Amino acid sequence: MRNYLTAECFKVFRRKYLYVALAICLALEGVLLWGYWSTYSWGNPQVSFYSTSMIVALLLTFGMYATFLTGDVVFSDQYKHTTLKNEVSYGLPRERIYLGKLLVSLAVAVLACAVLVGFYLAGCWLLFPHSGEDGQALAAVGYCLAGALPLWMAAQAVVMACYFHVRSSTMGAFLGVAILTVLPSVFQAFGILFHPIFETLRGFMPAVMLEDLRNHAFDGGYLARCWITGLVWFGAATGIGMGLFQKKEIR
Amino acid sequence: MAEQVLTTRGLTKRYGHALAADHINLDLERGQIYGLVGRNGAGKTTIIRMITAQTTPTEGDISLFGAQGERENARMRARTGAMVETPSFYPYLNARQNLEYYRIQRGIPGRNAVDEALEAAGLTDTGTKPFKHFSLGMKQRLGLALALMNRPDLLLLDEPINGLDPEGIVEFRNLLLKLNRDRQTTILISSHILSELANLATCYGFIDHGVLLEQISAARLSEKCRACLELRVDDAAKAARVLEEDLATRDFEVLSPSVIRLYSHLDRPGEVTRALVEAGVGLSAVEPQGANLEDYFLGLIGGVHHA
Repeated sequence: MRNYLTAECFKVFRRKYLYVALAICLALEGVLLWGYWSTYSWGNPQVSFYSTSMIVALLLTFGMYATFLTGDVVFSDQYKHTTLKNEVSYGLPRERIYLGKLLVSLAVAVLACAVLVGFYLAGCWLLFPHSGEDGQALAAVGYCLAGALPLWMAAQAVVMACYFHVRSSTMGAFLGVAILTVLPSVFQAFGILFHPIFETLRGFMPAVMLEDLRNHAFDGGYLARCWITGLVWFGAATGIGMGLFQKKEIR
Repeated sequence: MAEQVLTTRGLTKRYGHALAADHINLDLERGQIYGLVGRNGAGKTTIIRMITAQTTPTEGDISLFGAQGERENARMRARTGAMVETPSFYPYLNARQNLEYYRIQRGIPGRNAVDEALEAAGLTDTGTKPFKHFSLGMKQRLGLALALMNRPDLLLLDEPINGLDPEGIVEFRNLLLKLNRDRQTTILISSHILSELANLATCYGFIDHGVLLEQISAARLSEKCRACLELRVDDAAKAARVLEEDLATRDFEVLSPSVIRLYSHLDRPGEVTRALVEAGVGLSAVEPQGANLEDYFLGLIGGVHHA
């Protein structure tokens, strides 16, 4: 497995796509910081490290969508380029192929998250005035990230299962979006139309939990729920994805 | 006894109602170059894809190097090199990076394995050009380099000369012959370009509509395809005596009481005719016969279609 992970990293970090995507995200963050800085320089007293850093909590859902990019960077259109056959024909176990790509996509996601959040917070720290609430802001951001991490892992597992199962990466991404973001709306409608159980189920969808996370600041119970739900989703998506991949015809 | 490198028994692949491979029994011994001959869509690629675990057989067994069961086969696949259909690599990586990726992934020791494979495939001067800008011939060579990188005991090559220029085809053929001679590499090569297989194979398997029609050694095939005069006579025994006594040759085969194949005097059919007629043998036809691999194959599948 170590060889497999090393090889995947070798491939991923030689791909321009990763750096271009990161650069675009960093540029967007730069634009956001510039916008805050402009209003601050015009004399807006509301702009501070506390107020700007708390924006991170509002962008947690963005992290879930980013898993489509990190998944795509690692999966690299395997079906389009028909490269999986080189791995399978050498006798590499399919579970190693599946888990290897999933783990590297998680590592890339964590790294990208660290770079993006680190850049944004560092920008806020350098540009805006500080107050006694800075520690509270950092703690809130830390809590949100701690709760978001398992839910992002769950999203990554769902996305990879879709990429592995659907031959077109674009269609795979659509399926992922359908599961992660359309399904909660469907459950909501079913909850109203048919049975409240659907509303309960909706509460365990990663996208919904990410949205709710900022409303449960420092709630240990909700944090535990995020981890349990995230890990269950992660395990289920990985189990189903790997099971389907075992019998998948490779071209 | 020669080591059995690949054995398949009753290997079958069914897609819905269509049979892509129908109870295929293959036997490859160490050092053989096995030419899998068949038209496009005959089932050659399906067989190779089952051997390389790209697709699961509907029925039947595969054994690589005597392995029992799929788990052992999976381990044995590390002793194989495969090039199935078009060579596939990451388009944004260059030749060296692509091979380095697979070298790390497969745990092949020594970075010089990449250089050796590139050199063997004649692909040392591609520099930093990404795979997406390679010509078809260069892609084929890179596919071959990957198949060779682990110094395999069994090479599985599916239509490997597609896209190679004439010089590339000769180099490729010589490389395979060298590997076979120096390393005793067993090779299973499928192609519909029969003239190329004729220069390589030590054994043939003819396949059509998913059915393996015949397995035959190159020596036996060449015997079957040998040029001759086919004599249709009223008394083969009498004609045989004439050939021995008057034409002083024993280089003939009596196929039936009325058919003889004469492998000598090919350029002197008149002399043969005269000798037989003068001896009172009723001669109804003298026909030059003999086939190349292509004729033999066409005869084989023609026979099946008519059956």
